[in-house]
Amino acid sequence: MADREEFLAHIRSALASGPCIGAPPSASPPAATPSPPSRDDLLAQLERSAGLQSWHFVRAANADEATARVVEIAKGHGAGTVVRTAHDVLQRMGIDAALAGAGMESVVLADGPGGLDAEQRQATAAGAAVGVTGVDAVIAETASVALAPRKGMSRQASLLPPVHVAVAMADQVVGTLDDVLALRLVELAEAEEITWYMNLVSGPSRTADIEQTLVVGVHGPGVVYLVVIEE
Amino acid sequence: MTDVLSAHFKEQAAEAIGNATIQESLDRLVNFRQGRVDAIAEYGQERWDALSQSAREIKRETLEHLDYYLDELSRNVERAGGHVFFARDAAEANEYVAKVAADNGVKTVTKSKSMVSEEMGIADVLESMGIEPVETDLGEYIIQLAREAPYHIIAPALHKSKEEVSELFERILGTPAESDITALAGVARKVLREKFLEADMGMTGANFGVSETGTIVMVTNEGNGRMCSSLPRVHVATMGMERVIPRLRDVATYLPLLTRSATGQRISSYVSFVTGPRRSDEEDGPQEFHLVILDNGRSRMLADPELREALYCIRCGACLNACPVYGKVGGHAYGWVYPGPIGAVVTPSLVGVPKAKDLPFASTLCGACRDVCPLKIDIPRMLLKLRSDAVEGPAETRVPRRVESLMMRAWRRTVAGPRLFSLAGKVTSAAQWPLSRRGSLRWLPPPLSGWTRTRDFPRAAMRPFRARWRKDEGNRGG
Repeated sequence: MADREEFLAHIRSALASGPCIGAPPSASPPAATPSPPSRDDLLAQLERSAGLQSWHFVRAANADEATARVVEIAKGHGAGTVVRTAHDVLQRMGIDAALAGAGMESVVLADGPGGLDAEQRQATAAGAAVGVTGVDAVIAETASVALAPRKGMSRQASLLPPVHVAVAMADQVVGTLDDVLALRLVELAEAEEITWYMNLVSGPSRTADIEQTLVVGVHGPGVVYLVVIEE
Repeated sequence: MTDVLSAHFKEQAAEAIGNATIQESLDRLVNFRQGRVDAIAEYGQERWDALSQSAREIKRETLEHLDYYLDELSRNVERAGGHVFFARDAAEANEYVAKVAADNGVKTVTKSKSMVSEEMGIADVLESMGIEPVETDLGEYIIQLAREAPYHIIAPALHKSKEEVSELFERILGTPAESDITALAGVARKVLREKFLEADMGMTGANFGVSETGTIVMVTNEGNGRMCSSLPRVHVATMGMERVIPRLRDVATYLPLLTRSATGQRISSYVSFVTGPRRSDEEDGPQEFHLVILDNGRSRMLADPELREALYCIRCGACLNACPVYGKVGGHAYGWVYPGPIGAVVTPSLVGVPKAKDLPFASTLCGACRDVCPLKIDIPRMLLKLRSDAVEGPAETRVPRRVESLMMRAWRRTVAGPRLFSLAGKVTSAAQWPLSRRGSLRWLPPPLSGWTRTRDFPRAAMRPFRARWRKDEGNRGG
């Protein structure tokens, strides 16, 4: 078995043969991606790209409207149980009470007193019709929702149910992937723990592996909603 | 390591050309081609070219200091609580993964698509240990059931018709025949969902390994990559050692190049960033994370200044879609893990030219592969270099072609002096008479039949030039 030092020494000896033959490097810096300046522009760009990425895009004027729309969506998919993360925005929306009022059970996929153990969390998520999450950021250019799981933010709520509803605040919308990665680096610089996981979700789960014909919902959610609260 | 069948290129190519179903499937590559063109147009050509240029620049810099970046990557993965294993070859990588599986009492492994794991042939190793390896990418699952190799880097089951998939599911899973593609995908979803929930270990590839943060990045569409890296207790990622990139923000450079070149998507449905196992306060995620970094011949390409550029490849598959040869002979003809133009460079480089002697010649050198490559890799130049290695290279890359070199020697003697040359001209003119049709030769006797089996040979002049010159001398005056 090769240890690190031996492996790296072997690479160093391979590199001793000199530089790569190919086109000379370019001196020009990479073109900057212009980010639309205003919030309205970003939202308009997001709305366009969300449509192209097959999100159902919902603009809500305030938290109450968002709550009503999420309840409507869950009901429309015949949900008995809705699983969710512990994002602040969902607490503020009073989502549990609103779902209960419409005859649906809302389960937070989190550990803790009165919480579910790991096995129960997985079984509940796998059996739920709808998963609701907040987001860490939204990329306007590609309609990508960034989800960074941590305490209270299960990976499963946006993965196992056939329907995913992501709820974002308008000020979480950024222009490009580079903006999200730059934010991540700032957070990491301040974080105590350098271990992290993040998913960018840019529409429904999809495949075209049989005769190049598009099918959605092959493993992850096949129907996805992006609700943006504008207030 | 997965068996190399590249020595049988010609037979395998002939088989694909004669198969109507496969030809119909290959015709669908037009969708990928059009998707790519549209996606670049939407992005803007100028912006695209700038992105492409900086991606090249980053790769050049990274590979020239590959030891530094791999060291940084591995230390950061370890700081995040992960384990790193450097494998010199497929056998070492397999041995390590097998040990991780055995140590954890693993019974079922769910796998997302990874070309490196195909290179390793890890599925067979796990199977021989009594562990069930389950491919979970729909295309990979189909070819696993069919016990075949992937046909295309991006679309492994490209060559299968829906009827063939239905038949396969019927035979192996016992599900009723189904002609609807959505329903067929539904069958796979149901079967594989069970596997995701029961698996103890998930295996994935890594499109990029970010050395700055110790993060591996996976680009997927179905969600199986997220399942494999979230649900099982253990996550093992395998990556080729050239896939390291220095900074997290470099992902923003490579991702659009990858997805827009591969399928014409702005971005894939999912992009997952994995840095170590689950966080200490996380609700779910694997308890163990292992990263296997594989050499398996790559250091030989690194050491060769003429082949190093092939390590820039981000495995988008655009060169396969553009190649007129791949478009007829298909993926299995190439006989190993990597098909198409990039496969014709990578396979001989990784497994040795003699084992894949026909691949550098399986190209018209039209340059379409280089034109569509988002990293602008000069594949034709490298194919020529491999051809020259096969003929004039050092002993370990040379492929003996006794008849050909005998003929070349005879040719040299013939053209070196006027008497033999003149005789040869007369003999050729006379001998070709019964064989020529409309200005070309359609059939020549062995060993020259190697040429005329697949193309015509231009006919020699019916009267040698020297004969005409002599006859006309008197008419020219002077």
